[in-house]
Amino acid sequence: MNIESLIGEANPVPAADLPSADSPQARATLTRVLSATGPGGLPSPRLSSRLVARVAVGAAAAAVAAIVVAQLLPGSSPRPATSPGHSDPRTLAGALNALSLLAAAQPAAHPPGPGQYQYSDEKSLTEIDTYKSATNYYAVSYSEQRQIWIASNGSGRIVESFRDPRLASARDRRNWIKDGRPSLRIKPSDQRYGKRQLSVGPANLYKLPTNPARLAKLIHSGAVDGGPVGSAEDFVRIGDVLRETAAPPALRAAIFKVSEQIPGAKLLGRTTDPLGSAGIGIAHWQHVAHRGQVPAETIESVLIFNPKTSNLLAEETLVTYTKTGKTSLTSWTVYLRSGVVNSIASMTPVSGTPGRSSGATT
Amino acid sequence: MRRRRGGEAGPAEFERLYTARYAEIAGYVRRRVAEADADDVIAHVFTVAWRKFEQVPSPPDDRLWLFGVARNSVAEHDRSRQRRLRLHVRLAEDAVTAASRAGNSDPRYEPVLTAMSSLRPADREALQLVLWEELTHAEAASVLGCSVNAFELRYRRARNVVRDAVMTTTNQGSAPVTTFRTSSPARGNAS
Repeated sequence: MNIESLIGEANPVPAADLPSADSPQARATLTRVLSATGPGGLPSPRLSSRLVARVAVGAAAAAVAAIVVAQLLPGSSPRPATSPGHSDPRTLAGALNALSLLAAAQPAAHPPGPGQYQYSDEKSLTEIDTYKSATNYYAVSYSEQRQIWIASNGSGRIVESFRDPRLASARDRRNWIKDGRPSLRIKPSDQRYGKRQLSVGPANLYKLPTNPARLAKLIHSGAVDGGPVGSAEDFVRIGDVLRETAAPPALRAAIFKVSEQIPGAKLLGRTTDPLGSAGIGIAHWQHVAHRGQVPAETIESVLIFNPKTSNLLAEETLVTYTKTGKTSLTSWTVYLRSGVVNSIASMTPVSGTPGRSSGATT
Repeated sequence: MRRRRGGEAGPAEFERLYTARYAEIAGYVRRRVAEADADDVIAHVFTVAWRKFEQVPSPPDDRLWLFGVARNSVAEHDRSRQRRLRLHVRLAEDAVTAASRAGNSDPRYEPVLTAMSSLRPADREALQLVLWEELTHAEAASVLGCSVNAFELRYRRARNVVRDAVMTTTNQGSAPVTTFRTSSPARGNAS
């Protein structure tokens, strides 16, 4: 058993306990529903094929922004700030302003056309644990690679492979041996999906405003994805918009401006992602209390951006246990490549993010 | 493919959809709202489906479409309840614990449910969609309107928090067991 099985068993309303569709309760609900206004009783959602306006920013602006961001990179010689705030890349506002300018200057990514797919390739640290009992469990971390192809109709393919299993600690190793040394190998998978079974990101991406103030209001209210409110959620939404989506440059530029306003967001500055590329790190901290029954944890979510393109290079999650003061990097994901490809087997984008070659490899 | 427009077959066809999907949708709703409100929210989900029947995809795609409506209906219910009560309470937490009290009272699962109630709602939803509603990760990502990768991040984060909490609770305060040998990347020191 693993933790997922345990959570599954904790389901407070198992399917067996539910009334069937033939039960009097369900039939009464059906009668109630059918007595409501029939098909067409509600206006159809207004669909707009017009994409949000794209902002054209000159190459000169991009060059200036790249120089400003580059000041944060290893090997560069940071100059003393001549003015505080938005012009100083060593502050959160300054770094995000520079990333915003860079984003606005990037070419627009086009959604896949007929026969094409939005392709993404990522590598991550993932973990799987086996839970036998409260005293016999072990965790194994894997290097996972995931490739995704998604057509405009939501159909596609996901290929996953797991390599380099590592028992997380000596204790995990002891428990694994005690369990009879079961194989740690996980078979690779290659799964196809039908129409509308895959999603590339927030459904209303092209309808989001590019005015930072309006966008901030929408994000903070949870209106972007209908989710809850809170600064940690806002930070997640920032990642959702930027992560392997075809978000228009003006939207990406605006989202960096919004990031600046999220309470708790901090600039890490020069950061190296788990595969060795240098980037600009932005972080957010969240405290988890567990109702006082267990030691509180602090979860640090980190977004690392390519200083030359503003694209998202990687994400990390670090957990600090208050009781021990120990910090662990519990997961990371590095975005290797994304863009539109011409077939469900192709890994060479014809447009979009050209991969990590555009990053600043250290 | 969309359903054919209205006509005499409308109610009969809708009834087939209702019969096929009732259990899953009822389960989704009952795991998230108080028992007293569950039937109202379930009725709302299917009322939306009935009113927009021409837009409901044909099987099997109708399943995820209905989960999406159910998710919005539960969120709407929470918001209206919050407005009504004018309380700054964690409604989702209430729902989890209320469902726990009503349904699964096995003390073995109390640490799991307690840990889940401490999660951020979006992270908790990621776990619930997969482990309680039995959706695949790709299907759950579609319901949440996020990419598979975004979903994976939320799922892993939530699972790790629950696991750490459960392990720590069951070990009566011993040090958390989850440590990784992956070296931490070089970190900047800017403010």
